[in-house]
Amino acid sequence: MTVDRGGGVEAKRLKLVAKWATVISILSICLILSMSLSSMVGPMPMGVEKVLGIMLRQVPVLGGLLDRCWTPQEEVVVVQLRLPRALSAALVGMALSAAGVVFQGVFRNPMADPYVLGVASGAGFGASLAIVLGLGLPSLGLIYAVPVMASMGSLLTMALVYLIARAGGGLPILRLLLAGIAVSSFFSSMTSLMLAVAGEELHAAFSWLFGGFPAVRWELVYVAAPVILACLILIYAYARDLNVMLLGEEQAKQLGVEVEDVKRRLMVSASIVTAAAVSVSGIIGFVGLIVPHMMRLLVGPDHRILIPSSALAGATLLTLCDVAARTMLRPVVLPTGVVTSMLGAPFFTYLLARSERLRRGEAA
Amino acid sequence: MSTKGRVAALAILLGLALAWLSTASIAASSSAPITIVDDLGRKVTVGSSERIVAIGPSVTETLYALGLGDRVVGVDLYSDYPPEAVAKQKVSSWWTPDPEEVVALKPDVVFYSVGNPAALETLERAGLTVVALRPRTIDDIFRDIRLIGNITGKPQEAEALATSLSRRVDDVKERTQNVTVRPRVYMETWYPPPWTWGPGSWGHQMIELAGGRNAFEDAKTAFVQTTDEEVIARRPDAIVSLVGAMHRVTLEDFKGRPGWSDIPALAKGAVYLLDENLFVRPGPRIVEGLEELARILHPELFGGASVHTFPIAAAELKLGVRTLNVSGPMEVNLMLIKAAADGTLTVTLTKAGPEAPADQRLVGYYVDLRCSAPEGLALILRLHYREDWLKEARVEEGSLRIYAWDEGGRRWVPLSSALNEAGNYVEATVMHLSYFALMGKPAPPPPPPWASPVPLWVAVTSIAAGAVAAGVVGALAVRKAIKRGGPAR
Repeated sequence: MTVDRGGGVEAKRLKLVAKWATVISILSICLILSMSLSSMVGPMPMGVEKVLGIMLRQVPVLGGLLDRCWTPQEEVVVVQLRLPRALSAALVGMALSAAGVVFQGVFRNPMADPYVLGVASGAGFGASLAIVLGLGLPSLGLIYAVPVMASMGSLLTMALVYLIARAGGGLPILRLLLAGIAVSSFFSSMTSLMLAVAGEELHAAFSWLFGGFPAVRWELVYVAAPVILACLILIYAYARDLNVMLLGEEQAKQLGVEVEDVKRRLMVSASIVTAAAVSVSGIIGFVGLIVPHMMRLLVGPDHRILIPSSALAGATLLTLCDVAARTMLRPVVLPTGVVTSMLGAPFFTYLLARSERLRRGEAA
Repeated sequence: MSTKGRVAALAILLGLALAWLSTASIAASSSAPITIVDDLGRKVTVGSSERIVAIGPSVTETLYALGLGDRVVGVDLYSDYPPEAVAKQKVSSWWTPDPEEVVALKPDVVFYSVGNPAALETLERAGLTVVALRPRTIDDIFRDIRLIGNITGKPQEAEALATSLSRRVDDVKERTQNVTVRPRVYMETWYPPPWTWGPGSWGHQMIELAGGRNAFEDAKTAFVQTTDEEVIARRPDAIVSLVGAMHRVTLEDFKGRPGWSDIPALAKGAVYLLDENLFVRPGPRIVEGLEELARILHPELFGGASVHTFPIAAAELKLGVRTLNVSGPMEVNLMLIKAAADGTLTVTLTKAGPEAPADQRLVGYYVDLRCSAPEGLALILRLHYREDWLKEARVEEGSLRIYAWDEGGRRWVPLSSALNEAGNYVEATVMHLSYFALMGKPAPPPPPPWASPVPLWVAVTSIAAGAVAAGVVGALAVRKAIKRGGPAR
């Protein structure tokens, strides 16, 4: 009897692992396909084989073996313009969705998103400050001033929220949320102030606040990618603790989880991830809020699969949205953030309706 | 909650009362009210116009151009032209004008270059008489000048100004309407990302009137935010960057942008920085911008320094060859062999011309030869080049040839040319007049030492095969692991 039951549990776990492996591999393939699509699509007409060749050419040893069948200009376009754009869209999507999962999990609040602690408004303030002070001018050689100031702004906000919430000892969720709202609205108003005095730089500030990838460069990817990937790994290490914390903090404490430590580490790394994402792309809404819900509907609430699948799905979604933003109204490019909500919201509604129908079907 | 609601209601009532009061006071001071329809289709009745507030630099410039500077009591922060306007009371920003500041100036009428529709509403609610201006085309700009003139009691002055401006526009149009080559122009209002004009904007119109073609003429919006690649792919012949407080950029910046160096405009040095205020402000100075743009795109039509004319006497040529020397930005010698009739030969050196074939690069300038009596004219064209031009265009000296533009076939045709590497010139015999240009093949990039030709498809297939193999191995490994019992929890 006992052996049988053990075997049943074992078989169940095996099934789960197999299911997870399938989910992850399907999502990875989707991501790779969407990133390839992103680097194939553009106003310069180039065949698939050319783009592939150009990309392979960048591989250190193998690249030398290839003969060129494209112009140097085409190579620059693919390597300097399309690839960083595709990569940064994927990175930002990944970062925002994973951060969304963490915040929703820690706060046990379905409305939480990566910007719940005010990271976005802090970043917006930093960026608009840089723009208004005229630091972002290409002729000054300071094109990275805006992303740097944005990430500094978001880290500053995060630290403030954290200090305010911790004032009474511990890190109660309610105080965190309220501190987040307070600090966030303060920095929003500071951003509005900046815009009010902005004068002729208004245009740049607005275009930054809309969110998108208008001026990505490899350097931005080089800086943001390690930060984002390292924090994601750290977050994943706490997946099991997040599962336990879904039961409530008291329960989690009783089950031996160092709730305060876990919460602090998760929140700090999720905020850093968000800050890195915001500094690359500006403020892109929707992804961090909806992708976790989407994946919860598809793969269930277990964070061990929810985190990686959300990260992959978010990356895919944002990459595709960026392709749409670039191609829908060619040659006009829409802000990516606009497209995200425009395409993502109906899809999410569909998923929601379907899951509702499924549940009713099961009940009947 | 309820007290809050009551306070809010009270505040609204108070605001309404104030608004009513101020409207009433304005109505009282009106002399001969005039009702007009403004650019947003709103009917506005304006009484006196002794005190005017101008929000939007284009409005200020128009008012000053109509001689109404004395009546202007306030302007927005960006109104810096004419210089007298700087001394006026500044009301606030253009995007979010503060209604209280405006009310304090007690204006009879406010001209608002919209802008921000919400701000317009706020100004109206403060009881101000607001005329909204939102021109889209050059004709709209002239219509607004007349509208402002009618409201302020200066209809004749406005009519005169609008007429003289449109005459200047017509003059440019007349000169450029028959140009053979319309360079594709990318006019940049902002970067990064690139912003430019689309159809339906006055900027687009200005490019067309100046004898160019907007590189973004197919865009669906009047203002186009686009990508670097889009600009690169469109290969503009000329880049006009509008610089000023809003957009600061140098010629060096263009070379540093990834992928831009091979854009024809950069390759032939046709990048121009112009004052943005002559282009982005829909006021009277827009015509100055148009004239400047036309001069840049077609210097030959506006008496540019690079136009040279020579009289030709057919009888003189019967006795021998006559040599004409052009010393413009490029040294050109013409050895006339024969001519059928007397006439005038015009030589224009320009940077704007038909785009070079894909495998050729322009060295120096286009040479546009025209003659009032082109029949039976034969000459030897000698184009001198400089070593640094070759270096700049990265062209192999041995490949230099003279090309002639075939207008009918719309393509460049190589002429049989004689290259003199020691003297740095190329010669060719010319029987038909057209555009001529010195072109050469770009020097190939040095091949990497390890380069051995593996066809692309071999590499791609082997990588694909490798990926498939890795996938199969991975799948097998996962299955094996599952069979063995999966990872322990």
